[in-house]
Amino acid sequence: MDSAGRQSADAVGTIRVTDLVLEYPIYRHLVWDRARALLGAVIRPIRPTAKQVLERVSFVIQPGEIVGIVGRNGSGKTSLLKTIAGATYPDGGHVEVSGRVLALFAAGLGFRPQFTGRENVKYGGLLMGFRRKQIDALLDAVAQFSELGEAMGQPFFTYSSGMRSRLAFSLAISTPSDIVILDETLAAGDQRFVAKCYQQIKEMRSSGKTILFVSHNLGEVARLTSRVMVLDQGRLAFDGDVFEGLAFYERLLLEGAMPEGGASEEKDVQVSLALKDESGHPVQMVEIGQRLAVELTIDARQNLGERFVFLRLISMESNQVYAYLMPRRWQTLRAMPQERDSVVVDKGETTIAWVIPSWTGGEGGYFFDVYIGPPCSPEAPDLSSGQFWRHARNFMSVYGNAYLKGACSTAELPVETVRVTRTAGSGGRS
Amino acid sequence: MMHATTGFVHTMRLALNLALYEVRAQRKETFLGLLWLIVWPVAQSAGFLLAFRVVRGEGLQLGGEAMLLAYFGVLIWTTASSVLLGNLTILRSNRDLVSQVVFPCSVLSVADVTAKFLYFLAQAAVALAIWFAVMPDGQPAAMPAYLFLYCIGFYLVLLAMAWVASILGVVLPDLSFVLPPVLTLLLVLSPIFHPDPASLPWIMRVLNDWNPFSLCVTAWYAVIGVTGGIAQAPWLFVLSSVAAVGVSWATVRVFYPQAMKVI
Repeated sequence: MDSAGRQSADAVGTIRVTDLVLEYPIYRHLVWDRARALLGAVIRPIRPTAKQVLERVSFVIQPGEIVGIVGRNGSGKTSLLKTIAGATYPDGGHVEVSGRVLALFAAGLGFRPQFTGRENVKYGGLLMGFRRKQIDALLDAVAQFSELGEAMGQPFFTYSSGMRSRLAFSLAISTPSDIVILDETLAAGDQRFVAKCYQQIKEMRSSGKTILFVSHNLGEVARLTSRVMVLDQGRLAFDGDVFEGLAFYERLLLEGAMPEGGASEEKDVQVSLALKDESGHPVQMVEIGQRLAVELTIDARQNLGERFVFLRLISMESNQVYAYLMPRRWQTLRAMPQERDSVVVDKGETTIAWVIPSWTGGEGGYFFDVYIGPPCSPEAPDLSSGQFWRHARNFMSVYGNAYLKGACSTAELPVETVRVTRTAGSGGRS
Repeated sequence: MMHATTGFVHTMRLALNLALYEVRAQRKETFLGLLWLIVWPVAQSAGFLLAFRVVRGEGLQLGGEAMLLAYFGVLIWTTASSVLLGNLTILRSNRDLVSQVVFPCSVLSVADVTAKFLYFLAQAAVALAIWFAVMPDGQPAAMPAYLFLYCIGFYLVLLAMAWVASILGVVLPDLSFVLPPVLTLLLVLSPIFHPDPASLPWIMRVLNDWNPFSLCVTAWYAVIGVTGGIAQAPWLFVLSSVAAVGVSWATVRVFYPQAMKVI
């Protein structure tokens, strides 16, 4: 057992978390409650009211796995990572970690502002328990990877946020370890450096390191990880396949964003979106150039009449809209159209199928937003302004999503055919 | 046992290296740098001594021995008080480090104490050289050994105080404002400026007897042969400091896990 109360697990690189509970005090008066929380370590009755930020979380991560952890703000992601890393002590359950852990949290590595970059690397190396010779080797590796050049000799307070991020990440990935924990660490680097980091993470994965990765950039998660955990209000809500996990997380986000007015309307309509290959089999991964059918099924409990319907394809990495697919348009629209296509949505199933002869999206994750709303409404949402959800509450709006992963192209997405079919029925699968 | 020994060695090596970084950081941030090691306690002890002599109507002429004794006393006092005051805020001021880097947080206090103790050793060595030059006779042969023991004891006292202060600083942050004037008052009443305790009112004697800072000063005076009890003072001092460190470490083990969450 180490200084943070973590027990050793079996194989090097294994993380075993069992019924992990972590609590933080709820502060009403900062100083008073902090004192009560501290003294509560020996006098339990005086402990302030606590909030469980992690509730009986259990999982096992095998050596060499790269796991993405996603969740809304305050869902317990960073607390979980800190507990695994040993920076926070659990209030219940067990964390068993085997091997050397290196954790890089969002704000850096506690660098000293008055020290130079070089001195900070040495300082960080000391804190991580390295000897001087090891630190000298580390220094060379960090200087090379970070490409900071002469800035390594300048005080840290003169660094831009991007340079700070470079130094921290370079130190983290250059340090020998069996388990690497990365918490929102790639946000500040420029594109070329981020790409270099991605490559480095892939190399770390192929060298057998276990990697835990927290990010709000779902594209990063889709691109780098093979398994996703979704934390929701301190509970492990999902643990499994990356695409299913991201879809699950999207649904969570949308539930959170769905206004009260929209909730009752959603009961009248259910949508499902399927991606199918040329043989009609559902797919999750799409190769570049692959023929692909996108099938949107609207299942209505009642006649809705004429509705404005479209899909919005969004890149998870850049969060940019990649394409708008409309029911009567034969081409992809890169900008939100002013004239909107509508279809009649009657009771029963309405299926709109777009056939894309050749998937030309670049590598990464994508998702579809589905919009169904009244046509030609003066209150129609301005989707390009990012006000989609707020304006949408006035309409009958239903959202769904799916994920695509391609290879390497930035060409426009061609649409070959669009087909609208209807099946009358009882409607509204419950 | 082997694991514990390795851990202790690693922690001490880390503390020493961090202390050297502290020294370097302080050196880099002033024009005089390490010269402040000597200038600061000399100026402080001279200032206090002059003020006292003026208050007592004893004139401004200072003897070499009195000056040196005041220097030693003020040096010990300021070292101890800077450790105490510095560690009241050490966890909160290193919040980023504690929350972002995985390392034994108790080493922060060890590094702080080690840096200040290194300053103390350098400052004391200069004054001791002068002391031996001024008072070549009457020094007991065992004095180097006594001094060595004293230094161990003093380091441990500082460490014990630092660990407890680091926790107290989280529970009672107001102490950072309360303690400086209290420590100044206690310094004024301390044996540094009142060599004859019998002349003090009983309440002041009690305060000095229970004040660990005064005890450290008194033990030092005993070690260099200014007051009696030299044979027992270093041993008693070391033994009590070991006990203090033990209690302090137990306190750290209980409170630090929670402190790391609430700072």
